[in-house]
Amino acid sequence: MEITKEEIILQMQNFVGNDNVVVDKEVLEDATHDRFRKYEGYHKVFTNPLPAAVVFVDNAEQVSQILRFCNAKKINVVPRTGHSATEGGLETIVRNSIVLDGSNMNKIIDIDPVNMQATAECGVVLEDLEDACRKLGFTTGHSPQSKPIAMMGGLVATRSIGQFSTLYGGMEDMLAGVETVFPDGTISDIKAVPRRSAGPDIRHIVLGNEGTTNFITKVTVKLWKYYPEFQECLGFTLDKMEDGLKIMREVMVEGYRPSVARLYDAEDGKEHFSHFAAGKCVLVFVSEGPKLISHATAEGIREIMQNHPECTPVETKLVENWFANLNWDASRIEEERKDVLETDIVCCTTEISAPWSSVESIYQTCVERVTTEIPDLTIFGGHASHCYSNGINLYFVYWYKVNVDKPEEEIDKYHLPIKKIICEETIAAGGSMCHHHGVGKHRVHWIDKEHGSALYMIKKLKEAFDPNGIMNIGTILPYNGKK
Amino acid sequence: MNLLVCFKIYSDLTKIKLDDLEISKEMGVDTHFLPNTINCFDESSLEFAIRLSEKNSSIKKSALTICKEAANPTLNSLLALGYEDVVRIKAEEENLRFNPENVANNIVNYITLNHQDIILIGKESPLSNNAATAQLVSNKLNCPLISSVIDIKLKDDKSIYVQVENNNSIYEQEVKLPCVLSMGNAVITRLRMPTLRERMKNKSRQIEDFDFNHFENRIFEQPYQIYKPNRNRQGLIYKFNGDEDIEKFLEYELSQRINE
Repeated sequence: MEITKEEIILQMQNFVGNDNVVVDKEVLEDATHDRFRKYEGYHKVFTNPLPAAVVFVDNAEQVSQILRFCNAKKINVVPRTGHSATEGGLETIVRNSIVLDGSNMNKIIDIDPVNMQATAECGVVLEDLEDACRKLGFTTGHSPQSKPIAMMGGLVATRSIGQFSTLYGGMEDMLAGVETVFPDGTISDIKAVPRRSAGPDIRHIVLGNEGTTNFITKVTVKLWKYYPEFQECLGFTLDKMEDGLKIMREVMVEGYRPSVARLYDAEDGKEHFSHFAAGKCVLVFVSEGPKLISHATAEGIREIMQNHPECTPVETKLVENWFANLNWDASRIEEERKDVLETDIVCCTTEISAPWSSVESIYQTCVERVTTEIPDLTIFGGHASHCYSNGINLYFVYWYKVNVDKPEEEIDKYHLPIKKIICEETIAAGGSMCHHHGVGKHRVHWIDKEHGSALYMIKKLKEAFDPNGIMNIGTILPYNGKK
Repeated sequence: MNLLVCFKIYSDLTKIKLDDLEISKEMGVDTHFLPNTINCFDESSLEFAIRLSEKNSSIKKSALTICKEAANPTLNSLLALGYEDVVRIKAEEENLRFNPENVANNIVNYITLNHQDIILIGKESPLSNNAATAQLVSNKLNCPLISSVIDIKLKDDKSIYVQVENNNSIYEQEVKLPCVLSMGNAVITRLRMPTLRERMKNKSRQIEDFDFNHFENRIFEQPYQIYKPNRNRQGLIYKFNGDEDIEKFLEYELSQRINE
């Protein structure tokens, strides 16, 4: 017999105490969605079933007890920390789910200046950890736009990446060790070591799992010395996105590793650069690290740029000021809520990665198809912001003026059709439909095409670690059962 | 019916870092590296004009700004949003700071050659504020001024209804045209964005240039001193909890201050 909501709540209260089990209607409504359904949320429309409770945990043992119980009773668990997901990964799509919230686990456990690593509980806000490290002269090297909100557990679970990724890499390059809890209650602590070859790299079972196989409780990341005084910032305007992509490739292939390498098209750049680069693409590089390395990197890029008369240098301060205002904090989300409610104009994004050989065609095709096929767009543009020796990402940014009878129609009329074009075109051209936001629940439609024959491995991992299918139903893999 | 929105584009001071706050030679803040934004009161006016024209197709709406080249993206957006005339009076910032008479005279010059029935002007501006432009325009045109307008409704082609906020009360009044409206904390605050299709449709339309005439500043003094205010604040974190600790807090902190 199916367990009732009241029984679930009672049992959760036994595990973590009454104060840590929240059943307030507004909290539950807010917990049904993430930023994918922000338009509905701003209009107080909630299309997913309410969870039974939001349960705040204090330690790995509590997580273990709860997961074991939910596994036995087949209760869906949606793991959550900072609540900044963008792809529906935090949506509660089946009745009586538990949202398991690790944001109270917010202790920085250790900053180790000898071994150059920091250990934090899953609910530590990245900005808090970074600030603590910077006080000691170190950096995690991680700086996603969500830094003021996102927490360590979620950042690992989505395999996030930050603005300085071209030097420091993504979360997969930063993660040294991690503690996580599986549905059967097993607490696994993957020790932090410089490297090892003791079988498969099991960090990758945790990295990017999006809460579908385990709940992350503790994270150890690497540290680097922080040298803000040696940062050099270079900015250029140019006419064509394809020229910018070629330059990005040249910089990478020549062997330079700026921390930031970003290229905006004119449309996306309107939001950022219209005071000095209206109608132009903008290319930005930041070099950092020890004085000699940072300077040499900047000099090398300058030398490359001298051979590109199609680019015009811009004053450094223009770029520095823009960069200082790039992150999203809670007040900016509140501003966005007010703007959306007043104007009905929504901004959404889809990020992909592509090999150098196809990135231009993906960009051109997506721009052409979306602007032709989708109504009510106010802006459709994009930028490339994470560079690799073998390719680059594209971050499509689109704004549309919502014209629907009910707020819940917005996603089907605009967001998903745009995402469909971008994901399908990218996969067809040999890229990946997800660069760093994860699959969530709204890119599962193309997960088979994304992985091809390797989907077997994803399914096997899910079956092995979550045989009862209780972890974040409908995320990464589609759910076809009863809601 | 002709409606003119006079609006100001200025550097967005919310985007400046404290470290970058530098006093310029002209006794101002160096803002050349900041993005632009529309004065919030003017943004309301620009959206009001569009909504009014949607209700009454006989309204011809124009937008006028005294600005530098960097304002062009905003002006092009207004063309795409269906403004029949978008007028640019090119001028350098130093000609306009604390010089509302200069601004007002240039606006009046334009209106003298292009008759307007309703003139919307923001009641104040975050940068180089004088809160006098609307008053001066009204005075020079010899037509009524209504201040702190928060809503506008059309009555007929000779008059309108306006809602005004004054001393925490809101009242509605009928105003005969022509008139100058000084826009306050309006019910509408955001200007819509044009769609891509609207932008494409209006791509070939041109911004109209109108000559800037320099007028001597006869009313307002130019700043003679400028400094960074010291607004450092201190915070203390107490680990007190519960009634007993409230007493401790009262004893150790507040009573001490009261005695001071």
